[in-house]
Amino acid sequence: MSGTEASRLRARSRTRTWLGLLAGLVLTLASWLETGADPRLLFDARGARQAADILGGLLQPDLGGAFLWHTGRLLLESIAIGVAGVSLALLLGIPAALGAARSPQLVDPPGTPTLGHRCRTVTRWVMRGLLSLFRSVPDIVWAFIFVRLVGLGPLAAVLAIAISFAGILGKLYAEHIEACDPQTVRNLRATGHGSVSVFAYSIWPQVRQDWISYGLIRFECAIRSAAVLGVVGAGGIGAEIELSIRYFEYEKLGTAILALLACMVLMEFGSVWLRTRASRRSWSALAMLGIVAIVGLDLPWSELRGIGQQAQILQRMSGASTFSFDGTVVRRALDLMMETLAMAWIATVAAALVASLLAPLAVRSLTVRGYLNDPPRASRPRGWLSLLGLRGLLQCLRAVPELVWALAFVVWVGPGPVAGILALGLHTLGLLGRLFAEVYEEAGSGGLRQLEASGASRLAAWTHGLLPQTAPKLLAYGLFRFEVNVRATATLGFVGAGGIGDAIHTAISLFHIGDLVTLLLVLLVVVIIIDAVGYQLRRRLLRHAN
Amino acid sequence: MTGPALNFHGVSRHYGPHTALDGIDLDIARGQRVALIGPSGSGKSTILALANGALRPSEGTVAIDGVELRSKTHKQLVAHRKCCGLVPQGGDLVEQLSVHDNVIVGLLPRWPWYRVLLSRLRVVEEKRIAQWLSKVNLASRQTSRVGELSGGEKRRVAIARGLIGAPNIILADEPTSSLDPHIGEKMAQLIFDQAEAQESTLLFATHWVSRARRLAQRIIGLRNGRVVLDAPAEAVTDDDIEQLYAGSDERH
Repeated sequence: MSGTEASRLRARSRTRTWLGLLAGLVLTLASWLETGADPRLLFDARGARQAADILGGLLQPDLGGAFLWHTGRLLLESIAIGVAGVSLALLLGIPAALGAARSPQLVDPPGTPTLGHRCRTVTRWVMRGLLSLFRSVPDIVWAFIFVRLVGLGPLAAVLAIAISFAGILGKLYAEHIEACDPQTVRNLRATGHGSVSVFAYSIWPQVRQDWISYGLIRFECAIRSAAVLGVVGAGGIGAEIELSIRYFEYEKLGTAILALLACMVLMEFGSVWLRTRASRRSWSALAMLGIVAIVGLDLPWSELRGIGQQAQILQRMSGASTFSFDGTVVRRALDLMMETLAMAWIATVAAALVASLLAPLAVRSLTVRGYLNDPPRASRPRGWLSLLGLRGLLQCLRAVPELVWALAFVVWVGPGPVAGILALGLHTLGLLGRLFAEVYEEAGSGGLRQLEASGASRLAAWTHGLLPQTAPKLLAYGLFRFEVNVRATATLGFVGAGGIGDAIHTAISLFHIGDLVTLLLVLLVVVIIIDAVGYQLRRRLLRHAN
Repeated sequence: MTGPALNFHGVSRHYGPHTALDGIDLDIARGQRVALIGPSGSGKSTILALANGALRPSEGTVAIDGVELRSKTHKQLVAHRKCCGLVPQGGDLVEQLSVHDNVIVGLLPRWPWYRVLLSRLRVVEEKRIAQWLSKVNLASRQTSRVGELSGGEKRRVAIARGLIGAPNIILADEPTSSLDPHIGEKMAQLIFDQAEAQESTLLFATHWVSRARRLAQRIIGLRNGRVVLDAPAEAVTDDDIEQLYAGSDERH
């Protein structure tokens, strides 16, 4: 490559970086205008007083024995709902993943495809569609629909988690199957192995570890979801949180939130502990827990038989005809969806920016340990402060689910997108902060050891060692968070924090099936488009990284 | 400024049950150019890491210009490391960065924070780095990503990075391994010339004994963590070398 050509190439790559940044900025500004969010609401005197009241409740929780007992039982119920939900989700999701995945094939085998092959292709697309539907409708929407169909209580939440998590796990597990080393699979196929033996001897050993660790991560998420679903009456501690906010009982709110926090923090440690020891035993432990949870919840399964009837009754009561695709409804749905997207974008960009700047302070190697193996003097006592303080803060931020943050912010700044953005932003900051710190921790220490050994500052270690190694990954994770956040934002309207959720909530409450289908379709189509674009972008980013 | 003197007194270093250095005593004068030779695992890299202030001796003391390493504060240690130019054995390059950005890493330690930040946002010091890259025969590779380079090219990037900051101490850990003989010769010459011009203290670990005898002022032979040969380069005989490597297959 000649010198001028090289410099032109480099100039182009720099230009692309700047163009990307500019596009991000413009998009953020446009989003801001779209939501019409007014940050002054944060400093509104009445709202601030409300916020102070909530904080007061958190500082002086209701520690009466009876209420504590009550909270504990609700928390246990939430955990049981999550465990039962994930267990059912695994039962649904694993077969679906097997159906939806295209495991590595021989490259170009002679012979014509048989009927069986064609059937597999059809099954694959049906399964993929089904999984996509399951996970694209947010769990709280499933929960509210089931509340209407099988009544208040934990059953609705278990079903909702089972369905939406089956969608997520099925997709992930299918991706793991497709990411298997093709050569080992082909070796078996080339020697005439059947699908069972291909699975048992090539695919399963490769995916086992991933399946377990992702299953455990989802397990954690499910309990978090379960804690929230109570907001629509599906049992657990969420119901208590919603009620205490509605009746201004902030001491009780304090107790419930602190209990939730403690539970989440414990669980995080628990799941890290479990993940590092993931083994055959953790499957059986999970299965046992699932059975115990399902039995312990004593779910009214008989309600399931009445679902069809109940749907008809609600349908008649709503007075709406089955499907009425109304132009105005579609337009309104699109408007609300735009607002949802804008909210998700602002919150994610802000959280990612703050997180990428804060995360180095939560990295052990940068704050306290350094990259050298055994230097004469290594400890930086002040580093511990930033490390532990920041990690604790991030943990609290992410332990409180978006919807609970939203409940609180609606009280503070009033209903509307501002509350939603703040809620989403704080929760995302907690998640991305930890994720980014983990990415930094895992970065190869090659260049970093050299930097430290030549006396470079920690800033230089960050800019010239960590960032170049991790930047594409950070961007990809941020992008992925945005995709997830679009779904989350769509639910914030359930508590009045802006976006399309409010309309969905109304449609389910009144059982306007036509409106609901329209709204969900718009949501699904947009989510699918965003996912597809995001997937391509992320793939390019990560390819660039490797 | 002449490079510092290095004094090792009764220095041992253990990695778990394994003993890398076993009570060595060494005094390296200011600006001396020393070649460390000896079979693999004889403790050459450990001596370099100790001189860098990146490794704690298990026993004994390492002193730099008379000041013991362990008595230095963290800040003083960092100040010492800033004077070191490293050519580590593994290369330790950041694969995702361009050759240019990897070489610039050799300059970073002495820059204020805003300059460090700026250097990631736009291209700086282009000429100076181009100059160094032409010295290591990589002039055309300035904008390539390090991940795309061959093993030998990576070694040379590491050499440019180690030398560009005009370090007072040059610690080169087998910098010419995986280079072809011709280029290897040139690189070794470059490192020794640079050390001579700057009067830097140089520790040059190598397997290439004949070259070491020609370029270095002093040869230190290590075996099983002990100094078994320590003489001016011209006084080293073939018999000494034979003895040092006796029973071991390696040797260039």
